[in-house]
Amino acid sequence: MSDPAKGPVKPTLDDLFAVKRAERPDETFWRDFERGLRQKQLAAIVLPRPWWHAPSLWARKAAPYGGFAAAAAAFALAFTTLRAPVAFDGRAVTRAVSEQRGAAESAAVGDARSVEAPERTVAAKAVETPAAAASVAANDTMSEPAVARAVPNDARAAQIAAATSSGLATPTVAVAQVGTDAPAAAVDSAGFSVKPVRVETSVVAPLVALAQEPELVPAAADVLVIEPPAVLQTRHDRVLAKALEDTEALAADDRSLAQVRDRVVHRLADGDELYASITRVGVSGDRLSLKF
Amino acid sequence: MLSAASTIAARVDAGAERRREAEADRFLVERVQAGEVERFDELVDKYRERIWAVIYHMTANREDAADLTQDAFIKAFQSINRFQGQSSFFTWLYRIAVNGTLNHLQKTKLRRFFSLEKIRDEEPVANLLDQLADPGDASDRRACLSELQQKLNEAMQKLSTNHRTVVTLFEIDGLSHEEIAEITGTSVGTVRSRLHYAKQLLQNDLKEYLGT
Repeated sequence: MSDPAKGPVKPTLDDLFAVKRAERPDETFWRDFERGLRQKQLAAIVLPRPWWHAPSLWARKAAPYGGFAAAAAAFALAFTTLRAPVAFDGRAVTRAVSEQRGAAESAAVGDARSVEAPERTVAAKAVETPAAAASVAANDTMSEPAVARAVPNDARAAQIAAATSSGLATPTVAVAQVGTDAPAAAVDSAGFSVKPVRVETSVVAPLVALAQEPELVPAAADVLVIEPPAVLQTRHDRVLAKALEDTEALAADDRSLAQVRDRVVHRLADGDELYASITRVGVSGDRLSLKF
Repeated sequence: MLSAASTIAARVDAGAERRREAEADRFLVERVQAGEVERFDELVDKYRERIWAVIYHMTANREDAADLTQDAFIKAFQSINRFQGQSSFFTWLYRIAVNGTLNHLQKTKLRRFFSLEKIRDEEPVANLLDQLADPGDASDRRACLSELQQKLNEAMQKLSTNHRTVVTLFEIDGLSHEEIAEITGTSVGTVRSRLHYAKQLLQNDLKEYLGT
């Protein structure tokens, strides 16, 4: 208290430090701060690293697998170089025999069969994939929120993905693109019939029923669905997906943020395709498996 | 004498509290390093006000402080896999924030703008308000407090960045000499010396406003 007789008392330096400690922002400031932090976090993840960082990062990641990669490369090289002449010799022998016998028709039939077989295999795989995607999406609705792994050019899987993401709490990011109905064409050309996936669970059944109605989603729609953080493979992907979730509400007001989010979605989608291509090589303990 | 003893006791308590915090932080950092990236938000919530306060008192600009605080957290997040746990997380985070702020001050030393934060009505401030002027005239006391705030900020900005850092960390954020030495990468002796010198400069600069 100041003494009226002496007038106001002058403060000490410690008093002034106490005043400085009391300088604090309000809640509005922290809301803006949070928003800005999310934007910067997202931008920092999306911005490309300088080119001189790439070799060191690659080396650091590849170092533990260097031995396996070298062994896999050597094995693949040996396998392809040893396998190709055998296949070639077989055909040459067949042709030589057929020429010798002068039976041109039988040779033509043999060629047709050998050509047809891979096509069937490819077509069968193309047909199986939507069903597998459907089953993945359907199963995951019971355990993980909003999980759907839709294959491009597949309207049914897109439908399931949309239904899954709309019905659950955790948001799923979906990007629509225009594509062709390639699996259906492959089915027609190969003349295969596809067995539908049988789903027993009552929770999943409506989703599958929904997926079997093609008019609800345009046939040309091609949907890429990004998996939620819990099922993404790498930490980087999980960070991206988490950032997407956090900024979903903000993106409606902020155009630049929406553009950044688009880039993130495409990057995740690209990463997914890349992952699908490298899963041909598998390492488990001291064993190495290759799929051809 | 009593005041010195209570100050020492308070600092001992603060040390024990910091050790508990460090344990909790280590757990969170390990979870983030294991892939639970959302746990980093807990660290942000825990330290954002303190980090912001340190940067704000070093820059005297609330917007710059917000930007630099965000940058510090992003940098920490990007490098968290390289954090080995040899120091506590908060020391590591403070070091990132202080270094970022010093770089910023170096870059912008020719174009500085102050934007001061409002003072919250807390007990020490209320006591000071009572001392400042005639108790009957509240607006006069407020104006006097604002002027003092302005003068102290100006005096702080006249200090070199190293001295300002030490004063901010010790007097305002309440860190120990050892912690400040670890954050600034200097010895404890250097910290003490800088602190003493900085307080002398402030005292001289504000002598017409300060009592004995």
